[in-house]
Amino acid sequence: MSGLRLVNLHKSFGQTLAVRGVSFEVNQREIVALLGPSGCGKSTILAIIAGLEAPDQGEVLWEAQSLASTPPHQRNFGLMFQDFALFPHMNVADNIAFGLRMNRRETAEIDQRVQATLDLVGLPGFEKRDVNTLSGGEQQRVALARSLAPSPRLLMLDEPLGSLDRNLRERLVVELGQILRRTKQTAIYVTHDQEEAFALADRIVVMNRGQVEQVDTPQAIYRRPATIFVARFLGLGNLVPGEIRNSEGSRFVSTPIGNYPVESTLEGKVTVLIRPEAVTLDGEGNCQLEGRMVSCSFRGSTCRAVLDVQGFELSFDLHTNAEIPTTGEIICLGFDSREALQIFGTTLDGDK
Amino acid sequence: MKNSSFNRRLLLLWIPPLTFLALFYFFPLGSILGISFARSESGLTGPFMEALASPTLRNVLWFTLWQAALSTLLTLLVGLPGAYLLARYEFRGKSLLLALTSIPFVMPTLVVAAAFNALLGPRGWVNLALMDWFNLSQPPVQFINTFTAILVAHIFYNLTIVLRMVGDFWSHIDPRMGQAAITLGASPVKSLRYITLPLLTPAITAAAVLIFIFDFTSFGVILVLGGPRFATLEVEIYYQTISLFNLPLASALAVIQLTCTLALTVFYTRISERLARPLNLRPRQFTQHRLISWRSRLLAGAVIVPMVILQTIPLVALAARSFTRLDPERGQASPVSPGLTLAYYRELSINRRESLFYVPPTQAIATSLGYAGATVVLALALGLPVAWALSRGNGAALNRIFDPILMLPLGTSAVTLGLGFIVALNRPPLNLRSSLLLIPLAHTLVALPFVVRSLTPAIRSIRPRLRHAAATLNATPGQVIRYIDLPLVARAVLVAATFAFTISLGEFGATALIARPEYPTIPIMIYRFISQPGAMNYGQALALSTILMVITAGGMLAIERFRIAEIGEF
Repeated sequence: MSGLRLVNLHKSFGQTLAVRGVSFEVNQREIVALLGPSGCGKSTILAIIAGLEAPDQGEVLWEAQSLASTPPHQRNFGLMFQDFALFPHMNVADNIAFGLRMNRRETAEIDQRVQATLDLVGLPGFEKRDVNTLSGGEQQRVALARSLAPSPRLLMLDEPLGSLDRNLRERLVVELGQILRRTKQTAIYVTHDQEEAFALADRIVVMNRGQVEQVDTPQAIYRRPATIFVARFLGLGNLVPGEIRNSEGSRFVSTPIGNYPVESTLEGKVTVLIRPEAVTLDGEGNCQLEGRMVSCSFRGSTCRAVLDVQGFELSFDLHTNAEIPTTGEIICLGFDSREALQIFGTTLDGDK
Repeated sequence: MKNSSFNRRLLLLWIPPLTFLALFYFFPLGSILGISFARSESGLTGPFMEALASPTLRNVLWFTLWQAALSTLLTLLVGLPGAYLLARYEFRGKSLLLALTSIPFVMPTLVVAAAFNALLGPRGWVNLALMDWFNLSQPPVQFINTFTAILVAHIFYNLTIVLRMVGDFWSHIDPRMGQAAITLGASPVKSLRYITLPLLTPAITAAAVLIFIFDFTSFGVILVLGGPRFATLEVEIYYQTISLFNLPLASALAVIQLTCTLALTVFYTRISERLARPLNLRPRQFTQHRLISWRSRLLAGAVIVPMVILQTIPLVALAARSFTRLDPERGQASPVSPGLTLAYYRELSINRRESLFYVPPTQAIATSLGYAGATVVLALALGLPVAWALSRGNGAALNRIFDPILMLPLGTSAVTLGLGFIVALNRPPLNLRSSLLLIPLAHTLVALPFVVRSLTPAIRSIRPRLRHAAATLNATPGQVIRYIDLPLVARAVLVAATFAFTISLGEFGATALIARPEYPTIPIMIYRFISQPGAMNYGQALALSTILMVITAGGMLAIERFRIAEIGEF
């Protein structure tokens, strides 16, 4: 079922182009993550959807109806802020009840709803607490309860875990996903952390410099990043320049670290990504890539090895069931080039 | 242990200012009240019974209260849109706007009265223009001696308090509070009503209490612009003292006035503690937008233009008038024709009547500047330790008790205090009657609260961690003071000094009673000219007012250049 649709949004602040031609959709009951580095325009898009900012160009549609003339307080879109913006002059219950009161619900209904949402976020009995005395995690839950209480048709979460410490974040991201799914909440989740996006989202919109780079499911994005930017942003940094060549009917890519057969239809100068997890420490003479071991950080079942290959620093995940080579040793890696390599039709210096 | 030694150190800091207040505030005030009540034929309670039983005086008290309440309310209503604009938008000329709107605050009442007279008086610019255009024989606008004049002058005076205190606080409130309310379905009006205004309450209350105290003790504005029909307590104290010489009754009224302001100050300290909420204050760059859209520019214009007109046109009218010769008043023969003139300024330096009390304007200016300089030194010497104590012992009991005491001089009748100086400081052990120090001492009493409020936030902003950091980077204690403390406090000291300076320049009430006739200050000279008839005297009053205005405005613009320009935290 179609929910939110953004059509070719543009927004600039003075000289800065914050959003440049952004279009994507959020289906009802779907959780979409808006992923990108800070300053890429994510928060501006939320503000445009909420109606707090007007786009210079483009449209926001809900169920195919334009929202251009709907003021923000009548859109029934919830927005949860990074540092929560809890009202400091109200207790927990009054904060949560605020949206319901604005909708002129009955007192009994409000009380019941406040209790229900507090139960949902795991804070039963917190009604009378002063919001200023809550811990970071508790504030986050109250903020979530406050945005869920009026049952918004779309909930937007702007880096909701950004201000919390790592441990709490890892625990809350799971809980947050469970709560959103249990309430069948349509949601847009803004973050710069790909792990959060992977853990929560049905689909991910990756953004860079005000533009959409890729829209897809978490698996698809990780498996097949559409651009060099997306690859880098997901931590896939093994990128080397290359050129597609034909030789005796077969196509291969020639790079400073070696020549590999490819099935790409691209021509000319390209960039090659070598996936770090798709290699094996080779003992059978199938040597695809040779390099000197610079360092290896142990991570349990794997170790992240940094290799110097013809002057390129490349990282690989090596399984620790085999013997780990020592630093300075020349080692040999094997891979299936169809699985391990991905070719981008752009060059590295363009960074696009 | 640590706590008690800390308290002892705080007490040490409080000793100089408290001694000062004891000698030059409580002692004179106590003396004059003691003498006054001793003269009362009906005992100590008699004058109070008289004051409260008399319908006239009850009316005065009632009028004082409600004109102050109404003035405060109107000032808030006029100022809040401006405060919003200054808080939420960044635009060119903003600091100039702040400087312009703060000039009235430091203008002496006599100058303000003269300014409104020059603009809206029977022979002010507006009436002259209307009479000329429509060929009227009578001035059509009746402004002077009306209740409206009092209200307008009070707004004119105190608007900057709202702009600065509320505007500054507002600029640090996270705009996402309001946005959160709106995404929860609150209309902009409801968001203002339920979120923004409650969050602003501490700042609005603080501004309102301060404005109320100023309006409650209003003297010059009522006397000169309100005319004989209106009297506040302060004006009544003046009449009872100077005209009727009913000292017991005047003292009773002064005590009533002081009690009211003290009650208000205590109430304010209490309420501000309860209202204080741990707000997550945001730096301004996160809360302020540029004026980009036409709608926001239009809105800004609609707020700024009337504000600037209200705050500057009377002063411009005053300056213009001091250079203008008008038609002679009817029945007064004069050979000169209307036009531009420097005559009023030239006449200042001529002793036409060969009066014994004649003082050339340069000497009055020199006297005023001298007194102001001494006030700056005194006020800083006393204010710095207090500000230090206040910023260190946050919430310490000592501070809670002594802090409101500092505010007392603001609510005390200047006339009563002036009389107190005369009766108390003219005999051993404190024989200062003929000392030139007497006036700076009185001015310091009024300036001290302002000095303390400007210094405290700056000193508080020097976190111990900064000093520790400097020390770990091998700075000696001397270098810590030189490179950390001084640069951080220097600008605040300058702001405080400018406050003390301008307050001293403009003070009139107490000065009028204790100034020696051969050493008048500029306001005293202005008053002398105003109280004598004739166009030439009036012109000279305007000329001197303009000079005083330029000096104070120069001081205020200097503050704004140093950018730390907050009125502080009342």
